[in-house]
Amino acid sequence: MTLLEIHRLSLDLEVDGELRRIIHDVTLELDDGEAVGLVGESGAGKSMTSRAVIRLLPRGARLGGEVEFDGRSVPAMDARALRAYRSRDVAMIFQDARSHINPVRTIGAFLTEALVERGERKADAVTVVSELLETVGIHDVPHRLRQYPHELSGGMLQRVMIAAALAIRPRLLLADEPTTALDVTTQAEVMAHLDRQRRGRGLAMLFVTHDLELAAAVCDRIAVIYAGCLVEECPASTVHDRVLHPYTAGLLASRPSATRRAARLAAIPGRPQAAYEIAPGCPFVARCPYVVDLCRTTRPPLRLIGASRVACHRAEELAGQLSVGRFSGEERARA
Amino acid sequence: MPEPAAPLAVEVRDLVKVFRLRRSPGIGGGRSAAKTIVAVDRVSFSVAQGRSLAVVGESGSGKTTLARMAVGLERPTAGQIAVGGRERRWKHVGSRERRRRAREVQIVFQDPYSSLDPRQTVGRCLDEMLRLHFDMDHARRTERIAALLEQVGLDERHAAAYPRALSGGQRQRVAIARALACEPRVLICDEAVASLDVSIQAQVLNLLSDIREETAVSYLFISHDLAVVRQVSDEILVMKDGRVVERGQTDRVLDDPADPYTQRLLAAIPRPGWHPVADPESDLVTS
Repeated sequence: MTLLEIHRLSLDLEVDGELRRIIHDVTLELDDGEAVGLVGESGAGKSMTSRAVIRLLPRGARLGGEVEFDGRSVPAMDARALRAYRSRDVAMIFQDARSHINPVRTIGAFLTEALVERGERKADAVTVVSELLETVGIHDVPHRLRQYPHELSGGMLQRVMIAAALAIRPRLLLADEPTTALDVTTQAEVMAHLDRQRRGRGLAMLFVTHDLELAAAVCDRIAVIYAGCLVEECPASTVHDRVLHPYTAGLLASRPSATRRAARLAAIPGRPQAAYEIAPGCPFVARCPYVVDLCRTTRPPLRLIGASRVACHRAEELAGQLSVGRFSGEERARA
Repeated sequence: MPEPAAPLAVEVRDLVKVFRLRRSPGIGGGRSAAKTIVAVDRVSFSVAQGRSLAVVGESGSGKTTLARMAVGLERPTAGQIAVGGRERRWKHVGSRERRRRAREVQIVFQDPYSSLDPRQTVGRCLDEMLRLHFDMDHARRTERIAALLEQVGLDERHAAAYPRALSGGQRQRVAIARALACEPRVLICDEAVASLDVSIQAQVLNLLSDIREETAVSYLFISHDLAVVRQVSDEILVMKDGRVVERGQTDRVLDDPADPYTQRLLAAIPRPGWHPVADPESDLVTS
């Protein structure tokens, strides 16, 4: 059953008195209990997409298209409905736990605030959050509840934030680069807890990250976003064998591997562009090795090909040729 | 192993750095007590001319303190550093000696947003380095600036730009050009590609291997990222809590890690077929 439906989302923000396009066109659905990884480089609009879902946008933001949660329009919610939605249906985990947890209140106060706010007894709330802290691998819970954020490590604080998100028993988790600031072993630890809890509770998750490999490991589907446009969406299981958009192939090929040294990395030429910089054609046209005239004039719509959706005019033609090896081979020949 | 004939660019013996933290009186009620942290604990290594050594570890391992001592931003508590066969002294270092050292060792920092002067154009930034270190007239400096920009994949249009007009990847190229301007023996890259987008990171890593082929510069590559390290280094030093836990040829260490910590680092990297696993011991590590 569809839980979240993002339909033709667009977003403009006011920058120095001018409206600037941040998201062009994002269409994405999440079923109940399903995890989707929203992958892209900085400025692609992935964080803003997740913030549009919880309506946590900067002042003056103009939203186009529709975001529906369980059949209800999020942009149309009044203040009261929005408050209920944020405190019961959806929870957000931010990248930097330290700047999203009140530094002058204890961990216990932070964790129980939402539950007490919605009418639960303080003692019950403490029981609930204590159990949650245990399940995300935090020991000596009574002591931790009395501590302040500065007394906890980054990995520990991020687990506190995950516990806070789970405490409200939401149906959807929004996780915005939850492990990017952590060491790699701590990342594995935090992701293991997040993944186990999410699956155990049947929660849906929109997982925002720049790390395609990490997303593929913990999500059911992957959605790739470039310059404010969704360019490909595919099952996570096929992302290494069969990608259909040249940008996805480029992302996979440009990342060095810990298991073997490449003679030369298959760098995507140029730099990532922001949504407001791109011309009317395909957003990836300036960096794509497979460009034809049509790409410069017409923005490709998302089309269903097999189990994937892809926004590329040449997707059928290039299918099977976009393997990572081919991309790097071409790059080597050119260099 | 590096060819024994190659001269050593850097040699570090039993390097130690102890930081003293003073607890402010009042908080906690007690009297002020000095607490010490051993950031680097008897670390030795050498890098031959033209070779690349990676120092790998997580936050708190001491890898950045090691880099800061090697470039002269931090004074070692004990141990020796020799650059180009010449022993470093730490007392009575005048400006002439500092400049000479700067021509030997340069550093590229992680964050290209804070490591460039926002009020200086790219051209003036490079010009300042050349005026400070070499006796060149204006025409030769202009020529050299153009050559440096070309070497890092920028062009003369960028010389007139201020850092704010450049992307993160372009800024990092400028920081690399600035470091190369005084033709150092050793280039230290302290997480120099960690904050870059993956497509830009690949470009900068390719650039760094090109520079190594074109010049005889040695790299000391400080990184937490084993995939990046595989790409750019010949040898590797794995650090944990200030100590070296494993060292060797990069391919050997990453293919067949001997130390349990190196094994844990490798196991934590997302890759095809990988799944995150919670380590029952790790709460002790992170707390």
